[in-house]
Amino acid sequence: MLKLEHVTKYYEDFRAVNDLSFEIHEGEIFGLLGVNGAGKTTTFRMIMGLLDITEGEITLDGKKIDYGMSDKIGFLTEERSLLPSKTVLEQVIYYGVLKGMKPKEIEEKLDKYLKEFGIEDYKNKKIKELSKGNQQKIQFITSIIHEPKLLILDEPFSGLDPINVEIFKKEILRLKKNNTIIIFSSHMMDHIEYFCDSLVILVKGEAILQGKLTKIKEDYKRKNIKVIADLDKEEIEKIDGVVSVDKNKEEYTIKVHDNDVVPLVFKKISKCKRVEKFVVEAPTLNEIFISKVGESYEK
Amino acid sequence: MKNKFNFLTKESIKSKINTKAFKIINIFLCLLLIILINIDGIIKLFGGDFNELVNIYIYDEANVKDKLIGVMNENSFNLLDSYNAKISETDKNLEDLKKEIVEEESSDIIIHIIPNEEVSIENIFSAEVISYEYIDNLLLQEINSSINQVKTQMALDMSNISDELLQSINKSVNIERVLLNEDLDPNDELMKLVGAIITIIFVMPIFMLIITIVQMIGAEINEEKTSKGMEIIISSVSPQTHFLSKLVSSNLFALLQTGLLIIYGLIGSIIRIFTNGSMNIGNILSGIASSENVNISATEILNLISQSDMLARLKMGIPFFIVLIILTFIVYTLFIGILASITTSMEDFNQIQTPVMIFLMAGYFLAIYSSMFQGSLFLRIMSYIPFISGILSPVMYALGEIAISDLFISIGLLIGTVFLLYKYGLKVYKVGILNYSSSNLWKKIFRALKN
Repeated sequence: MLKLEHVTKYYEDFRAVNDLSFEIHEGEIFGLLGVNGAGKTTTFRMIMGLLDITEGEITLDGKKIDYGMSDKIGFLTEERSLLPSKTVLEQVIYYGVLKGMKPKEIEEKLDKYLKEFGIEDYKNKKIKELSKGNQQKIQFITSIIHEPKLLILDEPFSGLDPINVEIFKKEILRLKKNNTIIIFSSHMMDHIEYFCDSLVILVKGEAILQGKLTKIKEDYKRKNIKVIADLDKEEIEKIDGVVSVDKNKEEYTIKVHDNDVVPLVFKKISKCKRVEKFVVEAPTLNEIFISKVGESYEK
Repeated sequence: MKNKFNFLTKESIKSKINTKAFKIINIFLCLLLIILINIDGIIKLFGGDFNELVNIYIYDEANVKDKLIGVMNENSFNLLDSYNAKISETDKNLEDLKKEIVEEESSDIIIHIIPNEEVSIENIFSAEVISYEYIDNLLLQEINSSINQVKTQMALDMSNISDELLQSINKSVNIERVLLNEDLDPNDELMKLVGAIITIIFVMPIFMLIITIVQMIGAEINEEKTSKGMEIIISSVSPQTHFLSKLVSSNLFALLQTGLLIIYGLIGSIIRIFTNGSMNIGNILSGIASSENVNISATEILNLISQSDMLARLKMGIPFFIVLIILTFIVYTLFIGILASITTSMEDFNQIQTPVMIFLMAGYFLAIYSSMFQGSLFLRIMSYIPFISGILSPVMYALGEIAISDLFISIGLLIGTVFLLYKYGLKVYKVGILNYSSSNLWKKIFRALKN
């Protein structure tokens, strides 16, 4: 289990992370969200032991993380972190050996992954000759080749086409099944929703929202009503508790303050001549994120 | 962690050696050294007017031919040989020979000795030195000097001076150099001439090697940082291990490059021995000396070195020089490694090379000046300064300007600098390699030190 307890980090007088605490268990994917400069990179670096913590403690399986544990950690950076002049094989061996593996074992595993990702012909090509998407695949392979106990994925799908996103998803779920602790960071909220069991949203180094995703959604009172009907938009907007009414093609999205507003909207809609759809949905994580982060910035 | 250190060091050396730049530079260096060592042979191989045999014909109407040949063979044999010139006989008369030289546009020279009608001690004979083309100044001077020497001999003969007396007159004055300071060696005065040569031979390779190391270590750290590979590397090994691996690999690379330079020198020497039959580096040494405006022959240079106590001093100083040079390499690699860790782009890296270049240039020029300004207190103090001492103090010691105790001080100061650079530099390195902010380089260094 990875455990952060009241972790605070200062750079001189600047507080980058404040009193951050969470736990991630084996086989759990945890979302670490925040806008740029929220403190995500600092948190990753503290978890990996690259930065000294000003206050608090970070432990993996009860032990403080240091360089003795670095072989158990895999890290996929947001930006490309490959050495352009090396070939794919040299690059993967380079990072693999630094994670305590033997070159022969690395090459065997690399062959398997290259085949899985459909790039077996690129084994001896230089990194700088690869496309952005293929570089991302190599970077992903370097982060998981040593079967880490803790895997940090920062924007893992960057530069990937939908087919490769699916291959990555499959691999991440396999790692989850193998009890890997995964920290997932992305600005693509649908990916967070797809993978994460729990999450934390950071704003200016502070956790403004954290917990199980289902609970977060449950606690967030606003609802979205998806409607296909011949409705009068102005009439709906007049209902007390309706936040907005947007139309996309045939479908209306009516945002309401809470569940109590839904019957009022339903009553109005039921009077329409044609009603094809009326579905009440929980808000997306994207909406929750924008709403919560926006509120925090306003404060 | 030790395995990771070995791996990083090995990879770092491999990455330097496997570059096209390394291979091309080494092919170039190998060829350059072979060419330099065999430059006289190569020039001769391609041929030219110098290859042509220059016949020196003596037309003697004053009965001095034998004397002139004797003087020329005694005094100018080596010089004539280097011009591929020899004293020759011919049956042709003077006019026919002149005609032939003009027709063939040859380099042959005629020395025409013409007796004077009224012979006196001042005016025994006249002479013409006849040629189609210009004659090299040195050869012409030698011919003129030989003719004058014959005239002097004849004048002495005419004055009824016996051979014994003539020899006594010609005998050089026994000049003894007396130094009132008993600690000084008279031979050392001559060593001023040799200083310039030593400086070039000793300082240039070190200067070049330090520049190479600085470029390589900086570029490597900069590449790892700008490609963000550093983030992954530092998540696997400690900054200390990473830093040390760079330090060791760069210095091992320097040793390897030194070894390669020695091998190239040996190859050049072997080629020279095979083509010339002997090493005979006289021409090369004389060439270096003349390029430094020092009018001295190769034999004189070698004699000076062997006569002076320079050889003994060098023997004693070499272990200290090796320590000094190794420590200097370490100081430079530490310094550039720390600075490179702060950079975020190649432009930044180019900027940080400036102080290194200033140190190197200062060391280089001070080493050159050390043979000109002997006894300078300023130069002595500068020879203690780390970054400069590795270049300056061996040259000053070889010239007898500083003693072993001064080398000890230089080494002590270098060790202290290595310790301080490592202790505080590691702090900067640890923070610097993960710092991508665009703020001022020096500000970032001070901030890292404060943390």
